[in-house]
Amino acid sequence: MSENAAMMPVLFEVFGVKVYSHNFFLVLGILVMFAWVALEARRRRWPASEVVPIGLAGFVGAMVGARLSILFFNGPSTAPVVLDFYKLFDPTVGPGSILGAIAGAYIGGYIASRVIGKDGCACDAFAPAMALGMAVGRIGDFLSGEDGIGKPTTLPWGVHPVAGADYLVHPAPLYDAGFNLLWFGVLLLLRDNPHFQDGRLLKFGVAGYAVVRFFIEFVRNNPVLVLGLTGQQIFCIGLLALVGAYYVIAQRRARIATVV
Amino acid sequence: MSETPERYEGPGPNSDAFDPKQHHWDGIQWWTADNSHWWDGTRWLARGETPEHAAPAPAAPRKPRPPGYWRDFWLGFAGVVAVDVILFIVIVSTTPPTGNPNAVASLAPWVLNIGALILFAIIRPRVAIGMLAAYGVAFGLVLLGGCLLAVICFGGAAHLP
Repeated sequence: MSENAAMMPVLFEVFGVKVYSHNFFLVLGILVMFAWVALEARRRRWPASEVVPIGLAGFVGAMVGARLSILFFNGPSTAPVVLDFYKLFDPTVGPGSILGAIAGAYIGGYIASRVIGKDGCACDAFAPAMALGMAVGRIGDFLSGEDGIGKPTTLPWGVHPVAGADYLVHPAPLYDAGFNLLWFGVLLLLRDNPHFQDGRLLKFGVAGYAVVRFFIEFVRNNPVLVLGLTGQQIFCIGLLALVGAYYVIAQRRARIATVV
Repeated sequence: MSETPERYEGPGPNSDAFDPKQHHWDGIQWWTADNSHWWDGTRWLARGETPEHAAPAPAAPRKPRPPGYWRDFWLGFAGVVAVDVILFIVIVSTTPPTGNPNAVASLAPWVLNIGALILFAIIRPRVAIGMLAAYGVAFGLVLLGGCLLAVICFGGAAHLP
C-alpha cells in the first residue's frame, strides 16, 4: 500500500471546485438509505403520506441527535458549538456522531408515526437501509482521515494515517463499513421472518451494530470517559440494555397473553 | 371466474395475541394449525396465494389532500425560515463582538423551534410537517454545501472546538 493511500480528503475537482470526500459519501449514504426506504415502502405498500413525514422527522432527529450527543461523547468543552442552534446549519462543522444520529432518528420517527396515527411500526423498513447508508458514509470518514482513522497497529492491513507517516493505524471506518455491508445482507434475509416484524428488525439491527461498534471503539481515537471506555461504548451498553429490556418485557407480555 | 380464497384474520406473529402453540413454523414461515393459511410478513394468505408485494404493486389511487393542507404546510415552512432568520439577526446584533451570547440567547432558538414543533404536532400536524420540511431542506443544503468545503469534525484528530 502506498504511503498516502488512506488519505484522500479531496475526492475530485469539477472546473477547479474541490469536492470533499467526507460529505460526498455522507450525502451519498443518506441518498442510498432513502432510496432503499422508498423501495421497501413500496414493497410493503406504505403510502407516501406516512413514509414522507416519518422519514423527514427521522432525518431531522438524526441531525439534531448527532450534534447533541457530542456533548456527552466529547465533553463540555464542545458546548459552545453544540449548544449553538445556528451552528447546526454551518456546513463547515461536521454533523456529529452516528450513534446520536441513530437515537435521534428513532425518537423523531417514533414521534412522527404516533402523530400521524400510523398503525403498527414503520421502522423495520429503515433497518437494512440504515446499515447500507452507514456502509457508504463510512468510506468518506476513511478517505478524509477522520479522527486519525484508528489506533496504531502492526497488522498487515494497517494504513498510513497521513502522507509520510512512519507508522500504520487500524482502518477503523472500513471495519465499520464492512460490518454494515454484511449486516445489510443479514437484515435483508430477516426482513420477512415472522419473528422480526413490528419494530423488532430495527431493534435487532441497532443492537447488532451496537455490539460491533463497542469493539471497534477499542481501535478508534475517541476520548476515554470512565473505566477505560469511551462515551460511544457507554452509549452502546445503554442501547443494548434498552433493547434487552424491550425483549424481556415483550416475552413476558406474550407469555401472559398465552396463559390468558 | 376463480373463487376468492377465504380470508383468515387471526392475530399474526407480530401481535402479542398470537399463540405459537396454535400455529406451526416450517422453518421458513408460520402456518395456521390446519395448514390453510401462511403468514407473508404482513397478513395471513391462503395456501397457494401469492403475496401482493411479490408482484409489482399497482399504483394506489392518490388520496386528495384535505382542504387547507398546503396553506398549513407552507405556513409552517415559511414560518420557521422567517422566525429563525429574525431570531438569528437579533442574537447576532445583541451579542458583543468578542463574547459568546448569554444563556437566554443560546437557549431561545432551541426552546422556540422544538417547542413550536411539538405544539404544532399536537394541535396542527400539517404545520409541523411544513416545519420539518424546512429543517430537512436546510440540513440537506448544509450537507451538500459541506461537499465543497473542508468540514471540521468533532474530537479525535480533528479537535473541534
